[in-house]
Amino acid sequence: MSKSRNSMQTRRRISLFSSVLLLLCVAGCEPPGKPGAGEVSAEDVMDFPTLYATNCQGCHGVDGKNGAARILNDPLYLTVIPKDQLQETIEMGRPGTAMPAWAQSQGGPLTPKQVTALVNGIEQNWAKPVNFHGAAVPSYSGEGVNGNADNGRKLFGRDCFMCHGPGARIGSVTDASFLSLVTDQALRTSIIVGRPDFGMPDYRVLGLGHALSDQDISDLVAYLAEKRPPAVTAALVGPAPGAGNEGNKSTGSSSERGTQ
Amino acid sequence: MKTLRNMAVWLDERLHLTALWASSAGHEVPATSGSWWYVFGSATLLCFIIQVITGACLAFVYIPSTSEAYTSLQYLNHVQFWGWYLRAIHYWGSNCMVAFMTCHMIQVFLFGAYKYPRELTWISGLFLLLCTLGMAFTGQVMRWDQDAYWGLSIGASIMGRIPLIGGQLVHLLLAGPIIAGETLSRFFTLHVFIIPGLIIAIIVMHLRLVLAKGINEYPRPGYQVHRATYDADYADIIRKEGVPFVPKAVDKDLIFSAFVIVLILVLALVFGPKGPKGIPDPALVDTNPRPDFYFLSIFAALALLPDWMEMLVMFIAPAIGLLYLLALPFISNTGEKSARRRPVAVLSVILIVLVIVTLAWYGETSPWSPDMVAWSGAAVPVKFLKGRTPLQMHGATLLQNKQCRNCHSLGGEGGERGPSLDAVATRLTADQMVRQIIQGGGNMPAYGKKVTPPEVDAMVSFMTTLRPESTPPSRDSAPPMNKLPRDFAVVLPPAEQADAKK
Ligand code: HEC
Ligand code: HEC
Ligand code: HEC
Repeated sequence: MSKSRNSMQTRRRISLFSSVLLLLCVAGCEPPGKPGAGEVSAEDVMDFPTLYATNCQGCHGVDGKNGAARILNDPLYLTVIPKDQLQETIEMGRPGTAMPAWAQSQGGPLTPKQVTALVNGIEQNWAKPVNFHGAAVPSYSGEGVNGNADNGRKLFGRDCFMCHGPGARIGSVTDASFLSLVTDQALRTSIIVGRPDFGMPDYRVLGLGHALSDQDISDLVAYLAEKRPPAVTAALVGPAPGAGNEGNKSTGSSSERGTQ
Repeated sequence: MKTLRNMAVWLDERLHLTALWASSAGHEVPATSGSWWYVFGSATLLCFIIQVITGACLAFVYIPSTSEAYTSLQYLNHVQFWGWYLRAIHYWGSNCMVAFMTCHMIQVFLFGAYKYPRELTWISGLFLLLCTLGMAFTGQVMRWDQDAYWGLSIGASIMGRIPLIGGQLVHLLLAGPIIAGETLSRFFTLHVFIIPGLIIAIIVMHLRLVLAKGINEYPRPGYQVHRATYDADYADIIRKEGVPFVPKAVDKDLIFSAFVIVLILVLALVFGPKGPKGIPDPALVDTNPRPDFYFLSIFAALALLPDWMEMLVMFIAPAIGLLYLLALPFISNTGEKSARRRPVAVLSVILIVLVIVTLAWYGETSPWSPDMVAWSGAAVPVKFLKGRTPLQMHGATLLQNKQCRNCHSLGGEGGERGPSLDAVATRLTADQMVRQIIQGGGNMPAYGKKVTPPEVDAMVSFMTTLRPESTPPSRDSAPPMNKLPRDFAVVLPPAEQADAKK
């Protein structure tokens, strides 16, 4: 008798439980297995931190600094580089170097909107007013200033040797392989903004505690460029059309792979 | 009342329903077979029935054409009321069917049920297994997405390697030389008409054999099957402790069936349908296709094995395995049935299950597939950049640019296809690194002429600094100047190199 009442009770409890469960499923929450609207395609990503983290931080470092390639999170750098140059560099990359082209029109993965989002993100998040301590602001590209390699050699001996001379602490920047991998622009940028993330001072103090002039910078670049193996120079320097030698091609193909 | 009874008797005399009942559902089985171990067969059958019903419902909407297969699945997923759930049940039903069929097979094997006189029951079961795997494979193709494409191209490349008739077989499988619309039609026909028809026919035969030869008694350790005495022994068991299957031995099957239904419904609700994952396009390299779980272990084996073993593992091993399974009831036709007295059988089951599960796990995580975004997304750890020369810094950017990071990790980030490069300088000299980059080898592509000498110089210079911090890179003993041989620019592709060596 009591046994049958017990089983009646358990049966009632089970049916109550299962109907509650059913109600929950049907009326209540969205079933977890229901397919969503589909994944966000990579082209729809617009927010700057994600764009930067998936595309740039491999080389330029977390948060734009301490990376193997140029610091981007640097007020001085962002003051010196004009916005259109920044945009163009991202779109076209630097053929012949490890910096790939990012615009879809150049075979890269990013839409024009995404490139704009990156440029704006970099400027809005990382640019700050800079105190130049009275030094003249050098031009980013140094256009119109012809470098004098002889003077550059002298300046190099004076200003750079202690860190970059043979046996010095930092390592050579006149090494042929190194020079084959960087553009003149990158050399120029390095002299202007230094590597604040790794301890290289910028142009405001590089001239033995004084600022280097536009002319000094161009001279230094001319000196370094002279040391580059001639075959590579054709591929690296400037957008000289038709300068497609082996080095250029190979990096071109690698940036193609990079964008798949 | 009497007329009703008379009518029933009349009908029964014509249709022999009582006899049918007595010889099927009501037939006597050993009481010991009413065990939880014996429920997997009926569970598999139940799954099959669920598959037929849900499959028929899906076929109302699905359009087997390359242009519309994908859209019709999207329609089911997003537009049709609970259409996604139908797909999910069909998907999880198939997973469960394979899983329970495997359990059933293992149980039958361990209980020695394949021995005399049930050899043909076992063999028909094997054909059911093959057909079910065929259903799983063709079903995966129905999705017509990247996974389907992957499965097909692997299947085709395996077939293509069969000597002599390989080409024709590929043609037969794909309905043409390449994967195209005809391929989908062919697989649709296989999936919806031919294989299910075969399965139904074989199930009929399988069940008929079960009825004819009786359900295997629960094995007693020490009891030996002899061809001369077994039939009499079995008849004896039935006489002494036989019970009608319905209603006496069926209760556990029913409870388990209810469990199976709930399991499939819940799995479908929680995990949903699979895919479709994206339109198949051989040009998309950036995808990570993965087969359904029953083929994951094959997927893993293919990825992990060196090329020369592929033939062995893809053909010879399965062929031998299948032949062995077919021959099993004749090889071990009599003797001990109880698993307690068959240690080798038990051990081999455990071993095979372990191998398959491990491989499937590898297949699921597939650590060998390159991490496609590491090159631009995984930052070089700062500790590997501090105190490095400008050349080495650029080497690091090149390691990113050449996508070495997609296969090699640094500081735990990056692909796992190749070894981590964190301490590569402790293993390789600069010359060996150069050789590795230029010639590749062991699943690493040969970069050959895709890298220039300065690029190699920079990368190697960077890699020579990669060693534990307790042994810091020594600048003086290894200045990063151009110490590398300059003539590797003219290194030949590996094939020609081998020629040159001769
Ligand atoms: C594979 C490594 C790599 C990745 C990824 C990469 N860069 Fe670069 N980037 C470089 C290198 C190397 C240079 C220096 C090129 C040269 O020599 O001019 C550079 C240069 C630049 C410069 C110009 C620096 C100068 O000299 O003024 C900018 C701006 C820049 N990168 C932005 C980006 C942005 C934005 C992204 C992400 C969309 C990105 N980079 C991704 C390697 C990379
Ligand atoms: C106080 C030491 C110091 C002085 C002086 C110095 N540098 Fe540097 N330089 C560094 C450090 C630190 C780095 C970053 C480490 C690295 O790249 O290996 C660096 C890096 C560079 C790079 C490579 C940047 C890159 O990543 O592409 C160039 C080019 C360079 N310096 C040029 C110069 C020139 C030209 C001068 C002279 C005007 C100079 N440096 C003076 C310390 C110095
Ligand atoms: C497709 C994946 C892949 C890519 C891309 C790749 N590697 Fe490898 N790499 C491997 C594999 C796999 C091995 C192990 C080879 C073996 O077992 O012999 C390996 C081995 C190596 C080794 C030897 C490591 C050791 O400890 O023995 C070095 C060094 C190396 N790779 C450098 C590179 C560099 C540099 C690049 C870029 C230019 C690169 N790899 C690109 C897959 C890759």
